[in-house]
Amino acid sequence: MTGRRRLPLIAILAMTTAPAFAQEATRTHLVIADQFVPDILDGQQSTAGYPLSHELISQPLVRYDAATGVFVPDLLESFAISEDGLTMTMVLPEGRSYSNGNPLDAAALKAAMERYVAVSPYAFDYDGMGEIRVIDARTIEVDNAIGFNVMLPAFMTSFGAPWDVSVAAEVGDAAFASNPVASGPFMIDTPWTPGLDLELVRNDSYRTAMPMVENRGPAHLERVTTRFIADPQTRANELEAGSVDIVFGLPGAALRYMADDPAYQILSVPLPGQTGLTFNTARAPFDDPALRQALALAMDRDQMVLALEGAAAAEWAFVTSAMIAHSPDAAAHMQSLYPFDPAAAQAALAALGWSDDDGDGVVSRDGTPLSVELLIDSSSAISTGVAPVIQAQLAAVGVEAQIAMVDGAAHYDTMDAGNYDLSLSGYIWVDPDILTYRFTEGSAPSQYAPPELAAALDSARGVADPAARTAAYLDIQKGLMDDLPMVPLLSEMLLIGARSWVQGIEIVAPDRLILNDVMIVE
Amino acid sequence: MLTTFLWRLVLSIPVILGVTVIAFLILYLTPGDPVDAILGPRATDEARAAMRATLGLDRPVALQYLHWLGGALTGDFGTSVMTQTPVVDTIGARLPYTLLLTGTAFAISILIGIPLGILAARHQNRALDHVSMGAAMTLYSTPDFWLALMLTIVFAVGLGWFPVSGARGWEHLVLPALALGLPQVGAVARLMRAEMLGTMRDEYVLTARAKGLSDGRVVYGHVLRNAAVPVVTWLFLALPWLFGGAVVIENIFAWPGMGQLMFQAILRKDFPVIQALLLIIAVLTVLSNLAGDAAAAAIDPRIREGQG
Repeated sequence: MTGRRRLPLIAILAMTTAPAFAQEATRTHLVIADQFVPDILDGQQSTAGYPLSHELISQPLVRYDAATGVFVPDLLESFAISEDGLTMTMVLPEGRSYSNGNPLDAAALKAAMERYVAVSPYAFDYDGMGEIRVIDARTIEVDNAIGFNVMLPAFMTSFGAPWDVSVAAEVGDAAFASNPVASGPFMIDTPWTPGLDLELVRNDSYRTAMPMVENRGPAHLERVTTRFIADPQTRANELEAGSVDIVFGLPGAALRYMADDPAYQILSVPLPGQTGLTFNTARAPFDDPALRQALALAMDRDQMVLALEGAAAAEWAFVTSAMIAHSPDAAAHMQSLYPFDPAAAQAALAALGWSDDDGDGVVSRDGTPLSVELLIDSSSAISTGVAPVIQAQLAAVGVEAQIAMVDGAAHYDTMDAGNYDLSLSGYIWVDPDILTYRFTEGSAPSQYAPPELAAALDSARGVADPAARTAAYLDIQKGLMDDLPMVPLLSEMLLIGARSWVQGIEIVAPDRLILNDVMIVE
Repeated sequence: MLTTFLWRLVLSIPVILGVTVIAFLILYLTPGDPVDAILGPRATDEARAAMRATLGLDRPVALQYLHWLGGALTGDFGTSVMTQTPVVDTIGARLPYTLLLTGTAFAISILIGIPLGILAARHQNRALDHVSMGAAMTLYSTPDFWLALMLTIVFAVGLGWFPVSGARGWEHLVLPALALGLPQVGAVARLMRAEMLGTMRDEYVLTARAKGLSDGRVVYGHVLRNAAVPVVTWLFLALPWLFGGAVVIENIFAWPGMGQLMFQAILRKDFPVIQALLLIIAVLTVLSNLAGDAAAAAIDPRIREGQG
């Protein structure tokens, strides 16, 4: 019987034999509902970023400690970056292995890094990487011509984590995709079928050097079932029914009835990055910086946050509080320049010659009404939720904005081609180097890419000293705030809901759910 | 009769080919590059070019279509962008779930809808008729996604009788099948009632009654058989609608079928999977039409003998 022919039988058997409710399982069996449906489980081949399922199986080399603003080891025992910032020495702990018992030594780590470059769609994260030298059984040295600011954020993800290359070579990339081996706190119990639940068991060889957790491994939990549920309300219903213990990605609307209920615990985690009002600076009328500045005064972020019911927080900076090299001075500077002041916005518009002479509520200049299209991404809950609010706020100062909703890829392409007026767009990434991909030639949705900004971004990318790098990005942000190709508006919040019986949940920057200390105590 | 069916099967081939051409063109003319959807804004030009080559998007659209068609004719639908496994395997893993869900919903619509229609017709203009047709109208006009949410809130979250979502046991099938099948119950019941009432006025029915046959024998032996023909035809025509409805219902109930796969494939612009799913739906539509005709012919000898 071939695998394909077995599938219908498997489906029917699965439906008749599996347990109905998670709560009937043992006290060491956790059930998580995850919003991200992974494509495959091999983090290196995946195009899905770093979903929770990958994070549970794999172990990043390092983590970012938001409290201290420095990177700390996770899988690694220690690491150091040379004074010139171009060589990183990584030391693995003694006797570490992958979850299948294969050694995770210096040679295995080197092989994993080389496979990442060969197979990952995100291999550009290792831009500038040169030689990888095995120094001894536990130590490697890695060269990078542009420093490690770009690589370090990848090292703290599941796609930059080591995956067992020897198994991938033995079974082939296709088989490895559904049943990969890594060194995370859990390992795959049975090969995963896309669409079905992912059953994980504890990896007893897991150890971590993360200082943010009490339990350095193995995990207290023996089993974790990850259920992939795309619909946000269904995830909330599962939590309410008690059939899942943790929901990763709760809808804002669920806070209405869960926030004050002791049966639940809600964690609001700001995602690194922001969603803002982006102007097409290459064409009229938003080629005029003064007009962009006037509209920034019309933005009432508090009203937007209310409309999104807790799914976002007000944001004023380009490098947000959940990002590396964040400076609170940036938000303060923005607030001082562009506080919410609709009267000042109207006055600024009038000073530029935009006035409502015919009383139709829309300002015009030289007979041309200020009527524009507001382009939004239909797959972004933040954008679709807040677009009508922004439309109303613009209307309040005499700007008519028609909302145009397109899918994510079309949104990206339309902006990239400069075929829009206004757009709600943003970025989610922990490192401020993301600004390079927003405001430089060839990668500037706002069409704003002055050469001096590119030079500043290129320079800031390579600054090794954290304080100096923060200062460099503060200067860059102030420059952006002067010309204002984009108005930062909102930071998306990841809402994690859990039943009260789940104890010890940790969130490690920027948005990673850590289960090391988790226990279920009814 | 067999020749007629075979001829109709042959005629359906250009229809299916036409669907594939239109689907292919729509996917490629829709704005939005799948490479952007996969790689995001930080990708380098080299990474984009490599991904484009991997997906075969660097060739002219006509060549891409011919390549895809050639593969499809031999059962090779390419490789899924999402899962990086053969599309046949990706869909093969989901198909049983969708067939189980739509099959159960189909059975619900028949097993409840037809008796409800008969009951209403036999009690025309009486309380039972009004109540059953009121219920049928309510079900028919209820959007399936709303019904799904109400069923979940009442029977899963509130009463705890059934699970909220998933596909780990028979009990997980109940709510999604009801959400998908109950709106069809309304349509079937109303159609069955109308056909029954129309047939009951036919002269042969009056003759049967005049011959002294019992009411039950007249209804179940003569009226039902003739009234069922358009209902059966309609049911099979409605099958593609059930597959369409499954896209919404499977996502609400996290049911791992083709509908859920279609939704994810559209979000990630997984063209090979979308094309294969559209082809399967087109084939299922053609086959359900033919099955409807076959069922009608089995019920009504006039159709079987080419007089219908």
